[in-house]
Amino acid sequence: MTQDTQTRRLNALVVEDSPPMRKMIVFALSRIRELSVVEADDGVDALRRLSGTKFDIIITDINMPILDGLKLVKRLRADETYQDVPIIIITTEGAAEDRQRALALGANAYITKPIQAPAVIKLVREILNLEER
Amino acid sequence: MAALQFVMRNHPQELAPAGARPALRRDTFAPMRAQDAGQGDLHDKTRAALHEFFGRGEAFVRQLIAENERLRGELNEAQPDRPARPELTPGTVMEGLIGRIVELEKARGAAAEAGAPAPAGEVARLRDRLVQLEDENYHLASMYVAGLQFHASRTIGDVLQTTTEILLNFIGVGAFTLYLVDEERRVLFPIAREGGEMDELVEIEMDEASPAAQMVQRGRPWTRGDPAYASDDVIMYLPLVSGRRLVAVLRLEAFLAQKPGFEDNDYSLLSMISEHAGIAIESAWIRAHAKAVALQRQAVEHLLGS
Repeated sequence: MTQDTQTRRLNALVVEDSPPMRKMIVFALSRIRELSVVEADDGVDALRRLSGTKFDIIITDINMPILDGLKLVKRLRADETYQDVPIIIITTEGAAEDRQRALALGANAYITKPIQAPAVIKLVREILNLEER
Repeated sequence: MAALQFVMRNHPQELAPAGARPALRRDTFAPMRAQDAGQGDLHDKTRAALHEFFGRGEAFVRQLIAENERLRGELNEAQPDRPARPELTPGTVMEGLIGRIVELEKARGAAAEAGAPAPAGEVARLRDRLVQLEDENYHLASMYVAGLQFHASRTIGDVLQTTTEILLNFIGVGAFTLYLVDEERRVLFPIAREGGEMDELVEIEMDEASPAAQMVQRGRPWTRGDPAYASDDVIMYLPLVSGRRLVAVLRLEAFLAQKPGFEDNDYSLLSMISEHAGIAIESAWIRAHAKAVALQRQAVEHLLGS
């Protein structure tokens, strides 16, 4: 763990329009005690949340109404504040093209549905350089 | 004897050979010197007083040892048949004390070893157990979330949405069709499909030999071990039941590419869908046909029989 993460909790934003899916991702992330998790219903709600808090990692679905995950990634990478913040996208196995586009736009990693909590926890820990408990 | 032991516990160095300066005296004086620097007179007086105190103590202990040996001699003369006991001399006392210290050191070492990091095999076993517990924990959470979503459904559309999300995202079924029961015409009619075209679907007769008719006869939610009615293009038919009433049937047709098949936890989720989606559909159906009535105390009390 870095010096910085020892002194404050890290903020994670979960952007997912499906309530059960969002709840399960939040539940998985709640196993990482260094994290504080904020939920957003879609891309627009995410932008609203992003304006008030500095997030250390963003996990977003791709298929969402109004502002989808790809557009959100693009907006974030154009924003100086969020240029380097890790972004994980959630995709379905068949959506290889979406996945490639998201990675090309600047997403750091992806997880596929149905999600497995241990895999999500491991990936987030690796990206945030958090020690495994 | 008791007095001797007391003295030795507190001042073992008093039994040191004559002429050797006991360690305790040096240790005791050292901090005093530091503290009393610049107060030579008081320091000298204190030192002299302590010398006298410990000198008297030493003389007293030597007298006790001598008296002890004399008494032992008298006792041996009076009772010559008395079993011999090891002679208690300053040397044997010190050996005993050293032996005791060694024992305590060993005990402390053993305790430290017990608290030391577990061997690699034990760590791996505990890590596996942790992963297993996390998995169970996640499964319970998924059951909770699924149940919550069904109970929060107010329309058949809500139930459809929840069912789709649970099948896709929690279980990994990528293609399925939801059929509702037309109780008057005794057919199953398709109302939603994932992973395929609706146009291809037709109604299914609920004749006596059909899976649906058998589900009606069973009159309860699906549980693991019940027939799946699988075929080449169907993984299973899942009845959605409210009480004993069959209200719908889910036809599961294909898993997502990364899902090889059902896992243990999936069966309890399927069981939950079978019961709670059925109740949710019936509730949504009743709500759709209910007349909006304001909540009234008198009516509520009447319902409660009070």
